[in-house]
Amino acid sequence: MNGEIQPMMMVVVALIVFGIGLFGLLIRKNLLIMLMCIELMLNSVNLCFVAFSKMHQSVLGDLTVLFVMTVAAAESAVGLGLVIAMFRTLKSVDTDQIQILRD
Amino acid sequence: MSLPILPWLVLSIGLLATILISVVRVGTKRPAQIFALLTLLATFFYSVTTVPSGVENVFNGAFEVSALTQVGLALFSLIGCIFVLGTSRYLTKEGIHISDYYHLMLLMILGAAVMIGSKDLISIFIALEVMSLPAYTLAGFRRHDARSNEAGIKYFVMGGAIGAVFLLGAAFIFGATGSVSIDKIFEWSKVAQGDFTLFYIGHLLVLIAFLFKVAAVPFHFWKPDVYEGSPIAVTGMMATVISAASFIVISRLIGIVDFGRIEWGAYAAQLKQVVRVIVVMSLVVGSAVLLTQSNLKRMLAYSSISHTGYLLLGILSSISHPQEIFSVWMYLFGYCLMTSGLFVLLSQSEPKADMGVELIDLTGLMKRSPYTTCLWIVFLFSMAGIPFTVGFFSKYFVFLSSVSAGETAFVVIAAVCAVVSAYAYIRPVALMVMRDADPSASNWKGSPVSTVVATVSALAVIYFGVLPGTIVQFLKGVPIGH
Repeated sequence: MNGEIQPMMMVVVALIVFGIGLFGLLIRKNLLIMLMCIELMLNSVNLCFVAFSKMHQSVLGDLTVLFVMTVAAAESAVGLGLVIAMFRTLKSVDTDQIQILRD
Repeated sequence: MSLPILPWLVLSIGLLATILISVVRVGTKRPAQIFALLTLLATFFYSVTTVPSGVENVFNGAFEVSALTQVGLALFSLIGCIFVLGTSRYLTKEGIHISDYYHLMLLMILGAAVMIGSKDLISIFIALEVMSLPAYTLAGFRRHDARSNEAGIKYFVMGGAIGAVFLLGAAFIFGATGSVSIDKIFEWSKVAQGDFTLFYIGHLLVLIAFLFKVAAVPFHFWKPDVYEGSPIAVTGMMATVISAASFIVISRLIGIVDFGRIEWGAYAAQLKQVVRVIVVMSLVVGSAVLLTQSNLKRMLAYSSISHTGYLLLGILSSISHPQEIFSVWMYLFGYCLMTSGLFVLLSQSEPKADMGVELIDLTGLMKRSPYTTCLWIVFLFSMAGIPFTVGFFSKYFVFLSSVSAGETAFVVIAAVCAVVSAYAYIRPVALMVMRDADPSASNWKGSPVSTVVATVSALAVIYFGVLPGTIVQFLKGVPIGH
């Protein structure tokens, strides 16, 4: 057992990373950082899947990771596109600048 | 050889053809629009002519072809047709009548159509993203307008976080059950023993992700802003296609475990308690804030939040009484019909300067264009649930189902909220009919095609409001998957 990483330890690490991502998403104002936080959340879920895959001795979780990475890449492409469109109009990537729509 | 996924294939191939044709003929706008329309019509045709009677699992159980999924696809392609035809003039006016709009729209419909058939958490996730990524882009499609940028960014950040939350839930469910296939998880739930904590957390996380997507209170805060900032045609698609697809997936995810088994009884009770709280909050917040709105798109956003409440009431009664789920399908059918018609009418507005469409723009519409006013009245009455419109029967069957599931107290709350929100829907009618046009009121001018489309929708709303028998019989016979 010495030196071997337990699956549940990996899950705990993944949850901590997910928490960092979520926390960053909630408190940061810079949209590029927020994009990174979303990526962090998705990658922590990847770690989770790998851990559970190891626990169940199944290849399903490892396969899922490939799908998630593909989707994450597509998502950041769309996100960066939107950020660029916003930067062209408002000359800023700060969320404080996008407060036009209000009740 | 029969090919159960033919309608989905038609849509995918049509999407690729639409993209190719706009690459070949650069500079003109028409080919993409015509191809998109043909694709949607062909999809509609193939899906209504080949409705299967049973449930057919394809792709090794990862995808379900049944009456439900196929009628869902038919409904989505019909809504697509309504918006392609009805909002063409609006898109030209906004300067976004370009072929990319149609590619993204078809991709969004394809994602929604695949999502309702998915029986595997991973394919649900991929379909969710295929549906959402075009939606983020479309929300920010008026890219020189700061409001549209804001809507796109807000929708994207929310949607990205939702996707991650859904995946975390899927990972937990995988950890608890060793599978991501909904059928296999159901089999597992019949025999599983021991501690289910990991599964509970995972199940709640995937449900929360979709409750965010349909904007049930308290997960609703993004919706009014995104609705207001997006182009009207896109808001209409979001309100109908994305909401309907998400509700079908919610019903699938709720039924993922065998609640008939005694081990799941305590969890079923807790889950119902959670859904009850969300139902009441959605109904109360949706109806109450609806009264205070003056911007028509924000008003429709809060209206859809209150509709979410009624739909969740139907879902709530289906937890213990699975056969009552037909009331949710009926509500979705009526809701999609009236909402798409209303958004087509809304796209006929010509607001001054940069402002959105306000309630005051409707003043005196009766004198300016009596015919359009009649269409408005039909859709608004249907939204309010007044008899002889489809909106009445939508609410009626949800209430009936909830009473037979023993949720009488919540039916009373829902009925009170329906009365309160009826005032908000009647107010625009009063402005249109009884007031003279305000000097600042904007013009309303629709293309003949969009008026015809709205007329057909309005006739359907009245037809199914007077004679709902056929559609109700059909929806009751839809086989219930789990």
